[in-house]
Amino acid sequence: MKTMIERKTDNSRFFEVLPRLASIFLIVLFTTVVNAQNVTMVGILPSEKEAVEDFSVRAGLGSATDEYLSPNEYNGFSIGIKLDRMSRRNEKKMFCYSKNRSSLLFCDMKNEAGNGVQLEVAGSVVHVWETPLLHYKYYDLLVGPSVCGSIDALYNLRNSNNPANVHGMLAAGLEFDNLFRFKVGRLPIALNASFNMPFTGIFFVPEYNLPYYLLFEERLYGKTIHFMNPFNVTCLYNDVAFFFPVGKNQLSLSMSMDCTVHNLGGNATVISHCLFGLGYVHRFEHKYNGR
Amino acid sequence: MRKTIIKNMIAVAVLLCFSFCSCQQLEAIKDCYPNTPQGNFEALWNIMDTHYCFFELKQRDYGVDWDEVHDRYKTLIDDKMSDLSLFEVLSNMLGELKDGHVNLYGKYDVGRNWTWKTDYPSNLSPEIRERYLGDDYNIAASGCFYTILSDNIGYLVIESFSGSIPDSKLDAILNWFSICNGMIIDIRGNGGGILTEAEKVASRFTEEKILCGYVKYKKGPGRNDFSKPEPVFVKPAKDRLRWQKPVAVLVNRECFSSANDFAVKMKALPGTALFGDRTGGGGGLPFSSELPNGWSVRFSSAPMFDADMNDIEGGIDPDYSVSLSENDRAKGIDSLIETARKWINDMILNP
Repeated sequence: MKTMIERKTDNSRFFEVLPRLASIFLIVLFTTVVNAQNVTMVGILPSEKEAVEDFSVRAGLGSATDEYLSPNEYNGFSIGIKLDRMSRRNEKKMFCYSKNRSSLLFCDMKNEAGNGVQLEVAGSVVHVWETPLLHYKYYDLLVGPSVCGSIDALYNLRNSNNPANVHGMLAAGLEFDNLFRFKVGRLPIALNASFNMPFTGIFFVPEYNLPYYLLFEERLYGKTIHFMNPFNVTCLYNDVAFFFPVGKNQLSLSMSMDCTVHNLGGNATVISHCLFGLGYVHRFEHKYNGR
Repeated sequence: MRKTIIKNMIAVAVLLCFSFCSCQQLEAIKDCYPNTPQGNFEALWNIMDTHYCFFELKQRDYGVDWDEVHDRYKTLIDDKMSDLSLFEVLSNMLGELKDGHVNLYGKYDVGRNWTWKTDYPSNLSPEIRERYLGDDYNIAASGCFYTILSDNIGYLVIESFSGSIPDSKLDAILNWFSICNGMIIDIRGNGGGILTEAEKVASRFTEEKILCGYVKYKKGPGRNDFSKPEPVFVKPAKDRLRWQKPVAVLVNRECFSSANDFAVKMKALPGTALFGDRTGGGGGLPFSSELPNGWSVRFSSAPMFDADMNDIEGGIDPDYSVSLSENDRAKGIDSLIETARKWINDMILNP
């Protein structure tokens, strides 16, 4: 078509995603060259018969472009909570770490022109089974499969006929955890760099112009459930957290980034968040299979 | 430690490869337009080109060639033009489609083409209608009034489907009319609203599930990328009062969108007839999108059809074509109501 030639392709969005991806790379690289020092029991890694919970309150920025609602990018302020729970499971001579991550966030966004408001509520639950691939005195590399369920609802206050869109995902993926223990002066610090990428599963998003009215009232489901793979959905989660003791307690300072990019159903979608969190870490006794 | 670094870097490199593949794939598909008059013009034209559902119909009925429209209006766009001028040009471009569901929402105005109703007589006199309602009519909800006419026929006016008419209110109306021989539902001037409200009212007038039409939706950016037609039924309201006597529905050119859909549904039901003029249409479920400058655009995206697969975008014809004659108007008589009353009385005598 004539306009396909005349239309300008703006790659600015690609270059917006690029620094986020580059930062993931740099963070992982950084974590590998940190000079590790003495070992202490700080951090998210539990010892035998122990579980560790990190409950954090988070705030930061969010960005969403969902062509089902609007081709424009909406940006705004995000707040949320996150609970990481890690326990150790012993199976005969083998052991693995069982990790749960539940998060909920709310984002209030505006378009560039400042005359449109879009709200976002997103929740996810991830479960990971990780085994130590590398284990040193000051460093552990844990790798394992993950399953995740997430739902992301966007509500555009200007659209009267198609005001909302929901993206849902049930997927399997991989998680990497880089855990470092070192000291700054006399302060023992743990650093945990997590990286998760769901790469296969099912993804719910309505087809192109399928109104939710037809979906629910007339039960026209169309092709709303899609099989996802790394080439049609990119979903990344990266979290870097410092754990340090404060008196008898342990706190965490974290920065997490997530990005979901897909073109399923014919509408391009880019959703990303960058959140900073302050968490309270709780270690407690945990028995597995009564042992 | 060196092994760790290498392993980490390989893992990250693989993951980044996946990420870049997907991002680049997305960028190849996604088009961004600058926030300039030219960019907004191209964005609007493209949104309509890839999402609007009635190009074929508009070409057939009005000779609209959307590619030609692009070329013609592009010459009117100048990057130094004011917002007001741009709004006027873009609104006029959308106006070519002569679709009541196509609107441009700017800072100062809403771009629209209402020729579907303004080019025709309304066949409605609010003063005469008030005379029929009398002073002691009942109010069921906002814009929903009812009374019983002197010949024992229920008269229900639904001015809009924008607000909700609760089920309990519909029960109350049908209960009030239970002594009547028939009912007139006057939806003249009803510009539509919520489709489910129209369905809810229609579901009170059938005892069985009846095919009343079909609907398709756009499943891709091509102008003919539609899903297959899916049947739409009127289903009887469960565990609620339902009407089984004759029903006359009064319509005019101002019956649009969900009011048009209500007329389509009622026409498909037995014991029901439409009186008045052709309805205004609006047989496409609307969708909204946005231009780079933040102006909002609404357009039809899912075409609806009647039970015979005729499109209803241009409205539907009544069973009995009746106009509000000047003679009757001068006498304070509503020709449509009188014709409907006569039909109901005939139906009672000759069922």
